[in-house]
Amino acid sequence: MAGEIQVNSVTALTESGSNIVLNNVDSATNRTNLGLGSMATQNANAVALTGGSITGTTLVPTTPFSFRNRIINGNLSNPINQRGAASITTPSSGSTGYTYDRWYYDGSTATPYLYQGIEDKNVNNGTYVISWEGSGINAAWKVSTDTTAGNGPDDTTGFLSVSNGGTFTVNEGTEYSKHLWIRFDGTLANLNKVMVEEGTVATPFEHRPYGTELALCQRFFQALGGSGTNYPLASGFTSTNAFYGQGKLSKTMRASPSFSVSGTNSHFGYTQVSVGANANATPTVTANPESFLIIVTSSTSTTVNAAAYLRIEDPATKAFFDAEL
Amino acid sequence: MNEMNITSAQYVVDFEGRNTSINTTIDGITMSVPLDTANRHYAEIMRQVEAGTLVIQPADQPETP
Repeated sequence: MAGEIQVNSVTALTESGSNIVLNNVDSATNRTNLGLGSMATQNANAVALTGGSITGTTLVPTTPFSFRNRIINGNLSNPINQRGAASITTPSSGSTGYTYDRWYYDGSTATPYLYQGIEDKNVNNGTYVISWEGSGINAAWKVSTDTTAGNGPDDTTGFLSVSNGGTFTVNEGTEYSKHLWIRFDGTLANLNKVMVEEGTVATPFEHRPYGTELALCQRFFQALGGSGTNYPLASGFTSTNAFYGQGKLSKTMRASPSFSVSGTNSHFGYTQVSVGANANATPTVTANPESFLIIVTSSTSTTVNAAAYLRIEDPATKAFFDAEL
Repeated sequence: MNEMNITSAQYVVDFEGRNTSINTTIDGITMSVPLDTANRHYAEIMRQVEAGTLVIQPADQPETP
């Protein structure tokens, strides 16, 4: 039989079917009466923390606290820009090419687009959530092994749209076997704070230290030089009209990089005792992911088999090593 | 990656006569490309070679220092 307790004609407790229910008090009053405070509330299986701190409790997240963002150089308001691009939509030559580090722009099509490839070694199976700041942006994703023309991110086949804050799932038979391409179009100048992370809920943009972000970029691209008028690049020896030398890259790169000169070839100068010589053509380089051999030819004769060093003599000229996807 | 405009390509050899890289001009930029299939420039060079639209010239003999 059900029953109740009244205080001053107000029902305080009701019993029914062996359950006792507090009456006529709201949850906040109950929490206060029980001394629970107001920091944490729980509704069904969701706990909301609205203040205070947690001490002496082990938290075990399902995704990492740090290095959550698979996108490199996603802070486009303060980007790593080793190539010196004027903007994220301004390649150094033509209408297509890499601009800010890790970002490739193609302005040759009716719908210009921007993409970044997340290296296969960092693409595990799982659900990812994408987020960014900026209006008028559309995003899409796909995975592929190939980066050559018509097979990689320039081929729209296979791209799937995903909204800001939306999720997508990578589920390959062999994990870490395909690159993950994230592609944007729309008002690209608005794009900022790009983040792709494991999980289903977008978290605030992860600001990594600038030096850390630069190091991540240098796995894909390195611009050596630009630091004063005497940038040592390699040591070696001379022949009659050439320098043969070796140098180290500042970071181990993703693959053996391509070499090119940004600036003026004659700013590459080698010195053998008191004789200096400047390049008369683009140096020839054979590189591996960690180091390189370089041959610089000149119209100036030097002593054969003399020790020499190679430097970049003008900060406007840089040696580009490119191992981008 | 868009199709690259490759206007020249020639192997470079070391002192033992082994091919070590390719001197090439891609989209107007002179560069040295390693023989690494993970390198995007090399991958695109080989794609165009296989498509029959590019021929890599043999190397000049290296200067003996």
